[in-house]
Amino acid sequence: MEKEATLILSLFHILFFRRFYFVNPYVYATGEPLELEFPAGRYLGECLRKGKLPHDDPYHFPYYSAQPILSTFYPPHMLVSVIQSVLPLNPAWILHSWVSILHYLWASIGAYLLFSHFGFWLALFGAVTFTYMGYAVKQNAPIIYTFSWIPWVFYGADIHSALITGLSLGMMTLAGYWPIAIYIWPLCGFYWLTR
Amino acid sequence: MAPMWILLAYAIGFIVALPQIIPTLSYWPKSIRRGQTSQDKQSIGSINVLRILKGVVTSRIRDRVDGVFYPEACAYVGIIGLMSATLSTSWHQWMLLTVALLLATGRHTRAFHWCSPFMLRIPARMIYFVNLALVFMAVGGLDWIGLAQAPLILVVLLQMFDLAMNNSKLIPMEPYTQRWQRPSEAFSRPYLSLFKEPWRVSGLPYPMRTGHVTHTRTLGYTGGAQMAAIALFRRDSDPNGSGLHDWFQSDNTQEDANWYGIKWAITHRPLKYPWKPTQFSHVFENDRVSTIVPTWLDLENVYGRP
Repeated sequence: MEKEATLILSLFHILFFRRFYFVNPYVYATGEPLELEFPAGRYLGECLRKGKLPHDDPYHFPYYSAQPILSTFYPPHMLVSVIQSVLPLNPAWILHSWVSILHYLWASIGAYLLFSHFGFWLALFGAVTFTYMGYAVKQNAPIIYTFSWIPWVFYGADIHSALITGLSLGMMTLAGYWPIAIYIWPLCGFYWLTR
Repeated sequence: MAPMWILLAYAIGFIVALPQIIPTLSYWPKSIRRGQTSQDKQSIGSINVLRILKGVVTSRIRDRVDGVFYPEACAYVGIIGLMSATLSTSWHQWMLLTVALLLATGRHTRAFHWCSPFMLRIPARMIYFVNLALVFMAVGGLDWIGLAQAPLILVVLLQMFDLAMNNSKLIPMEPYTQRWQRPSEAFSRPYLSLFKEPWRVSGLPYPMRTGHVTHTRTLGYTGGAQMAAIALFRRDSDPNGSGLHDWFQSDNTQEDANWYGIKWAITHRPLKYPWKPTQFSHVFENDRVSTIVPTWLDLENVYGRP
């Protein structure tokens, strides 16, 4: 059933982001994503290609890597930053934007597994509601990255998997949206105690 | 006693997150976040209960509430989701909802203030947990109803339609964000050829304000986690950071500009000597700028280290 669920969630993902996939790949090239995250990611990629971390950024951020919101140590972001730093600006943007929204699909699969003990259709209901609830729909990559790991944290707690929960907590923290991430740590323990 | 697996999970998570935890905690005392009071943390983003409830009932409100925009106050889980959430019988989900709701109200109640040592700024962000509680409650409530398969499939399809039609319109954050642009056009201006390192540029327009794509040195980050030394130097007392990119909007002197290495300014102001016009309209060059541009470390040494 996981294959069918993944297929349905993928189709829903495409439906949800239909404007990006079918109308205009630059639709989210506005605000902070274009002003901050995309340029900072490109700079991160340039630094990584030179074999160094951007601790000292002469352009804008003193102590660049200390700002969690720049996702400096988040592995998918590091990889995308390296690739986008060698691409021309427009394809680099499309890659940046696509990888961000692809995290919604990752979140929905985690949420489906989290609710899978309720049965197939109820788990699908939970997956789309968890992933695309009002507060979770954001255009900022670090926020999307962070949110995408939260269902996995709870899923790991459900099945008592230290590896899934631990890795998800770690990745969520590396992803960088600490105003939410730091509260998921104690909430995970609360969830496990009260479920 | 907690079983080993949860302790192991926390240990794994902590080790994986260490590369970010170490630099961030080292930087924290150097940033304006150090020693922020409860009042500083609640200076923006306190949402009253009625507005939070509106954000639960609909995702179509487009407003700015207490300094934050509507996506920070939206907790819409669909009409079906909301109705089924009310049927939840789980006390801990109701408890999470209540606690998160109270914390999100910020200045409107005392809950955030009492918990402020453990809170980061902007109470509205607690609405995420209102939303999270609603999701668990919605699934639990729907399970409690015990629908047969056919109506359940219909419910799922309606829920998907509802979220795809309503929540997908939350981004881009119109009308409070810029119109979309192709990056190749957005990061292209004729005057960029003028700017040379190591000097700084004031008034870089959106979206070039970080200088990373164009390799232009800016006035430095002035957001919510800015370096305390920059805030002191720029005379910025806003606990959320002023976010100013234009030197002439802050209360700084020409001597400061010269020392800081601001050689160019993009502005509509009619600047006078030592600023002189360039071949590009609204771009001025500072005739008395220092030849040695201070680094962030120099700034810290002059304007205070913790």
